[in-house]
Amino acid sequence: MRYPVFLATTVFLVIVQTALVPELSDSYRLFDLIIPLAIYFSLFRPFLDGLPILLAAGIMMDMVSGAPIGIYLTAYLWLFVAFRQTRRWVRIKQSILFQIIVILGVLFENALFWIAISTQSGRFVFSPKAVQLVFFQILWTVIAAPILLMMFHAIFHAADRLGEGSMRENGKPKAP
Amino acid sequence: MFSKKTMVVTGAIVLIVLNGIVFSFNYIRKSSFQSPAVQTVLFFVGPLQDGISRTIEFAEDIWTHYFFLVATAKENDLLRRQLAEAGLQIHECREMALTNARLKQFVEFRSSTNFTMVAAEVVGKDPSPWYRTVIINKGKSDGLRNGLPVVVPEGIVGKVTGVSDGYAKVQLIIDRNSAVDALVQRTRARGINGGLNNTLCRFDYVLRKLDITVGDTVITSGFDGIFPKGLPIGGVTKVFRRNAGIFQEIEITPFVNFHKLEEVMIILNLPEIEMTGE
Repeated sequence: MRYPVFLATTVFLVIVQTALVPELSDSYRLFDLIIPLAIYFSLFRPFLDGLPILLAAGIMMDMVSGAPIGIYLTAYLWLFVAFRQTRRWVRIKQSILFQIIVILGVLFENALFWIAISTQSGRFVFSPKAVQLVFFQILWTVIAAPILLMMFHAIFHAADRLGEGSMRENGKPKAP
Repeated sequence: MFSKKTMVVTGAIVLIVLNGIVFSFNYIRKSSFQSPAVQTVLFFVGPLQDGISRTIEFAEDIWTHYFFLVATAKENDLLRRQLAEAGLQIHECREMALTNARLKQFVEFRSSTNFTMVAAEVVGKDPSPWYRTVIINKGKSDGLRNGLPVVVPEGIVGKVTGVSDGYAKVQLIIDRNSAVDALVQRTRARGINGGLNNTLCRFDYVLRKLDITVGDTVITSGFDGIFPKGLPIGGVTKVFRRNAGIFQEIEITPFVNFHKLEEVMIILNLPEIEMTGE
């Protein structure tokens, strides 16, 4: 039960950021909504829960985007692995810490894009518009990250409970 | 004791006398204002009448301003709903009129060219702000394949870079990885049109010596084997010539408003490459 819910959430986020958000505001784009998901899986879920979902999310995003193939996939895997290590030192229960980590994730993904563009064009690409874009993405992150954290908690815990319920039912000896 | 006749006559007389007394009292009351009896009666009855009258008024007030207003409120709700529906219908009509105008432009554009074209709707946009692609709702089953040019009546939009059965990915000309062989309509100066940022294009590899000014129109050259020759791209908005270097830096504002892109047309029959040169 867990994986269909994870996958549905991922598809929902991909659709929101490719079809809904651009309709609302094309100028100041929202940050990549899969980043908080990747960080959530990294910090709060078992390794095997996150890995297949982030692989699917990365492939999906790479397919719908005009970015170089694999850039989203690698970005998510990097975030997943890197922030998983922080669990050893920091206990992240507060949404403010989650916000900060998502901001770092957003900066990291933008840095990856910037490197990709600069290497592709063979020159140092820098523009005030890009800085403005990243700034707005960070603002959006501050607003949206706690909401997404609550949403993920609610959905995935419900999925866990459903899964446990169905396991208990399946485990029961059948009445003669 | 008395005969019947006598009793009738007596009764009649008594009644006449009583009438006389009543008339006399009526005259006295009219002439000498209120009699004490009337005053006494009015003293007791007046407030009661007043109370009853006020109670009725109060009840009437409640009826007209509360119970009656419940019906009015219901009617108000109904009218509001009808108004909202009418507003929605007006919005739909306006939207239909706008779509109609756009599609009319498309039909005119289609009939003015010899290309075989298929129309598609934009259903999704690139999730990354660094790259500019859109997803359209036509794919392999409609004859689309990689490399086909995508246009609108205002100018070129981009090219198909990925196709599935029912959908295709289109790289816009404002994408940094886009490259379109183009020339300036007035001077026939040739260069490569590429994406600069979210709204603008750059015109690269244009020799310094070539005459290009702000306001010039840039069109497709047809040499890239993707876009037919002569389709509009945009207008030159900035020209910068450095002291050194063999090329000039040119900025182009595309004619197509990519923020409002809703429908596009895909040219299915690719043009033959014309290598005549200009």
